[in-house]
Amino acid sequence: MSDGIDTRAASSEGLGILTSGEGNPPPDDLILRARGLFKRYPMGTDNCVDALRGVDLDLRRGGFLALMGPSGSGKSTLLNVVGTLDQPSEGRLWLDGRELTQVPNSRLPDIRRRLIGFIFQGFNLIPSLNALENVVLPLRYEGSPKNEARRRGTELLEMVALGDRLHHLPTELSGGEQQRVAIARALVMEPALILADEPTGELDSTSSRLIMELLSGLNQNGQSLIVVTHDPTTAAYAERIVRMRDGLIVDEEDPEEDTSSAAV
Amino acid sequence: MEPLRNLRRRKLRAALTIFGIAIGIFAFTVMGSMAEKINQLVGGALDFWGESISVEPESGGGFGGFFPVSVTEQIEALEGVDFATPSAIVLFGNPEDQGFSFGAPNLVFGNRLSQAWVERVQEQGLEVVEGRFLQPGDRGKIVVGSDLADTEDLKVGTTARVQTRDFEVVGILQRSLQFTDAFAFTSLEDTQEILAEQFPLLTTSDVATGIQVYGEPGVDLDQLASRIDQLPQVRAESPEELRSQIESGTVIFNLIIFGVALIAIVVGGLSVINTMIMSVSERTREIGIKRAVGAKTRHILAEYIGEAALIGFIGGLTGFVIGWILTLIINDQTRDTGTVLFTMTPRLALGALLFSLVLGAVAGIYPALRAARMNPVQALRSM
Repeated sequence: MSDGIDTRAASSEGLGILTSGEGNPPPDDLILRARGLFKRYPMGTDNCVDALRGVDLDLRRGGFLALMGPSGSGKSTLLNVVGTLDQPSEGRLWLDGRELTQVPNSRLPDIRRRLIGFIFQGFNLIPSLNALENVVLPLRYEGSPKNEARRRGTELLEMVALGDRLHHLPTELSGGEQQRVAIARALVMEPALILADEPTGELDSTSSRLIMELLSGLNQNGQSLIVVTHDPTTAAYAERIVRMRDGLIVDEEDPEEDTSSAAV
Repeated sequence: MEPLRNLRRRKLRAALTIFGIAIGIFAFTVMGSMAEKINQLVGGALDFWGESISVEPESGGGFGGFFPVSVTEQIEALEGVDFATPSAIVLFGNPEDQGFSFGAPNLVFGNRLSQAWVERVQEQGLEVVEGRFLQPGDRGKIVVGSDLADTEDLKVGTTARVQTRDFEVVGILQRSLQFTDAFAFTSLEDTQEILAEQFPLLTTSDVATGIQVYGEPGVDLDQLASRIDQLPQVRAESPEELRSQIESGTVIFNLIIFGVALIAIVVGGLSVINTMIMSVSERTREIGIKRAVGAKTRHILAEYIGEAALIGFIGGLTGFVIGWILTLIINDQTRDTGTVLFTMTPRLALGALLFSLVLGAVAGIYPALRAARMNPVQALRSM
C-alpha cells in the first residue's frame, strides 16, 4: 500500500478528511476515496518519475479540502487523477460511490461532465464563446435542450453577479469576472465535487477574496470542494488543509485550530 | 455559430484556404458546365439519330461525298426497312464567310419531306414553338432552330437567306439546348439546288449526302445496318456504332473534369489539412478545456470536421458562384454568334457544392483525430 498513511494520524471524525487503509468501497457519507494512488511518468527508456507515491485520501460529502505543497509535490497531479483527466498508474479511486478506476476510458468524459466541476488558475474560458455559452458548454455536450441550458446558465451567471455580462466575451471581462464565469460553468451540471486548481492564482486580493467567499458559500450549501493553492489565505477557507511533498501527503491540519493562518 | 467565429479569429488564413478551394471549384464549375453542354449535345444527337441508321457514301458523308438518291430505293427494298429519307446538307451562310467557331456550324438539312419522316422527326423532339413544321410538298420553306433564329433575327413570315437563295420561314423550333438549335430544315430539292450551284461539276442534281434509314418495329437495327453495308457505294453506321463514336468524343471532356476535380482535391484538401492542423495546434488548450468539461471524442471530432467542412463549403460556394457567373457572361457574349458553350444543370450545382463540402470534411478528419486523441492534461498545460 502507500506511504500516504500520514493522513490517518491527522484524520478525525466530522472533518473533511477521513482515512481508511483498506481498499473497500467507501461508506455513503464519503464523496471521494483514494487508496494507494501512484502516478508514474516514464523518463527516457529505463527510468520513471513517481509524481504520486501511494496517496490515500477521503473527503466527506460537503467537505472542503485545501491541498498545499511546494511546486512538484504532486498536488496538481492528484487533482488531475481525482478529476479523471489523468489515470493513476496504480491504486483505486471512488467518486460518489463509483469506482472510477474500473470505468472504461470511453465513459470517463461522462463521469467528468456529470460528477466533477473544474476551476482553473488561468480561468480557461473558450475565447470565442461568450460568458453564457461558456457556462452552458457542459450542457451542450450533455445534449440538454437549448432553452433549458440557456435558462440554467443565466440563473448561474446571475448567482455569481454577472447577469449583465451574459453576452460578453472573456476578453471583455476582468480576471475576477472570468473566474466567476468559470465557477458558474463548474456548477452548471450540479457536480458532486468541484476541483479548483489555484483559483485565485491570477487575481488581486479583492477578487481573490470574492472568489473564495463564493466558493465558501457554495460549500456551506453542501458543495464538496478540493482547492489546490499556494496561498495560506485561500487555504484558510477550507475545513482541512492537506500538505503534500514528493508525491506524498505529509501533513494535515484544521485551519481553525491555527489562528495564524486563518486570515479569512 | 462557433465554427464561423473560429474562422473569423484567423481571417487571413481562413480566407486563403477558402480561396484555394474556391479556385478548384471554380475550375470544376466552368469545365463541368462545358461538359454538361457537350453531354446535352451528345444526348440530343443520340435521341435524334440513335433510333435510325445513318447511311453515307462510301467516300464519306456530309460534304465529303455524294450518292444518287436512287440508292434510297435499293435500301427501302431490303427486308426490315420501314422507310428511308435521303438528305442533302448545306451551310446556312456562305462557305467563304465561315470563320473559326467553337460550336456546331449553322447547317441546313434538306430532307425528302415524306409524311412518315415529318411525323417521325417531330416525335424525336423537333417541336415547333412558333408557326408550323414542314409538310410534304413544301418548297422554298424553312424551319429554323432557336439559336439560329436569334442570331439571324428570323421570325415566322420573314425571309431567310441560305447562301444564294431565299426561303420563307414557316416555323421556329423549340429551344432544346442541343445541336438542332443551330440547324434549319427544308426540302431535299431546295438543298440539292444549292449543292448544284456550289459544285458545278456534279453531273446530276439528284444527289444526297446521307440517308436516314428507319427500321420496322422490332427489327434489330445493328443487323439491318450490316445488311445495308453490303450494298455498293454506301457505308451504314448502326445506332451502336454511332453511340460509341459520339460517346468516345465525350471521354476527353470527362477526363478533363476528372483532372480538375483531382487538382481541386489535392490543392484544396492539403490547404484545409494545413489550416486545420495549425488551428488544432493553436487551440490545444481549448481542446483540453473542452475535454475537462466533459467533451467526448465524438464531440471534438464533430467540431473540427464540421469546421473543415464549413471551410470547404464556403470555398465551394464562392468558386461555384463565380464560375457560374462567368459562364453566364460568356454565354451571353457568344450567344450572338450562335455558340452557347456552357450549360448549368442542377446535378452539376449540387455536385460542386457537395464535392466541396465532402472535400473539406474528409480533409478535416486527420486534424480532428489529432485533436480528439490529445491528452487533456497535456492540452491544458499548453500555452
